[in-house]
Amino acid sequence: MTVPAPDSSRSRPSWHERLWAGFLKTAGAREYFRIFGPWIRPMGMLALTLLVLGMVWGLGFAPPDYLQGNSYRIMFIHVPAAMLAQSAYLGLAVLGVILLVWKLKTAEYVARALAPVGLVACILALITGSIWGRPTWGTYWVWDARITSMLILAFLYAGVIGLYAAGDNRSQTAKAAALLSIIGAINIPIIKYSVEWWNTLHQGATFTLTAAPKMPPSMYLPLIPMVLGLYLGAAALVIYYSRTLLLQGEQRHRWARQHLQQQLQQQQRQQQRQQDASPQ
Amino acid sequence: MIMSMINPAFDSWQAFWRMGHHGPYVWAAWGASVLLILLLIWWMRRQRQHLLRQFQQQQRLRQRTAKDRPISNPVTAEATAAASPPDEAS
Repeated sequence: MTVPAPDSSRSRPSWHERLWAGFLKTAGAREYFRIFGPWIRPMGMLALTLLVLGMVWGLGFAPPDYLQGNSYRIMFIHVPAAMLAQSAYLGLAVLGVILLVWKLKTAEYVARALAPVGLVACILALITGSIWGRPTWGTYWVWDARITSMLILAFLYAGVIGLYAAGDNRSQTAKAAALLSIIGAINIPIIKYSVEWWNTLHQGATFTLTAAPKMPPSMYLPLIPMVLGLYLGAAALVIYYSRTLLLQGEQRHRWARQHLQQQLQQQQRQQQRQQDASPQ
Repeated sequence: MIMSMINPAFDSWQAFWRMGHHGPYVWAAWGASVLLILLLIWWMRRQRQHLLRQFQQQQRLRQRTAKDRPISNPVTAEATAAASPPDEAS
């Protein structure tokens, strides 16, 4: 266990300040691990069900668009992925604030797990949008404001992931990653309003909270299970991966080692069962 | 009300795969999406497996040195110290 070097420039904090800081630093890691573990499987199952439902509905049952024909069926993955990519980055920014202000290490584990999920969502939005662009605009790529700001989001994700990966927990690079998460969040409103501020090839928002959708319900309803499923699935993955990172980071604690031991034994039992079953 | 909106959009499986000359785009986009998501899940599972294997190796080393403890053995003591540095994050 490394003790952070005392900051000589500041006066020594009082005992209750140190107690509070210590509590915030340690509280949560074990509780988070214990409380959210059982959520992974049901959340994942529900996510899978919703995604399959939305996929079948969107691909096989929603009516074709009068202008775009069937190519608009890409929307059912493109829009949820783009939404997830942006919300995940906002989540990173919030976790960054928690990490910098309250130094909760659980926040760092969750941020480390959330960043790759957000990056994949961002890449999904870019790839599907690019493929959709070909039959609709006649090109795979244009440097318009929406698409460029989305590409910047992917680079921001890559930067945050790289910074988190560059150092240990509670290191200076982790602080830099948190800071980049917060500063980079400026890009989110830019992405959102890019279609209004600039003259873009990308269309404006079809769905807003204030106005009726510019699309009949039979065409946009499959989006609902797709969005819910993708968000739920992302949450399940973030919990799963943050627990891996948590076990890795907290190995000096007995409870983490005990859990690792349990998982190993469980795995060995499973392998044994498979070996017993195979020769018959 | 919703059920009345759900009707098959295609007459045949062939029409479904073709998607009226948009098939390659739609299937490429969806295929890439499914593939990328599966890749992410596979990668996360592999990270967990990696951690478990690493832990297992450390455990074995720890058990071996625990047996040797009565006779202090500088070689194994060094090996455990090298195998399990205090900070193992990242």
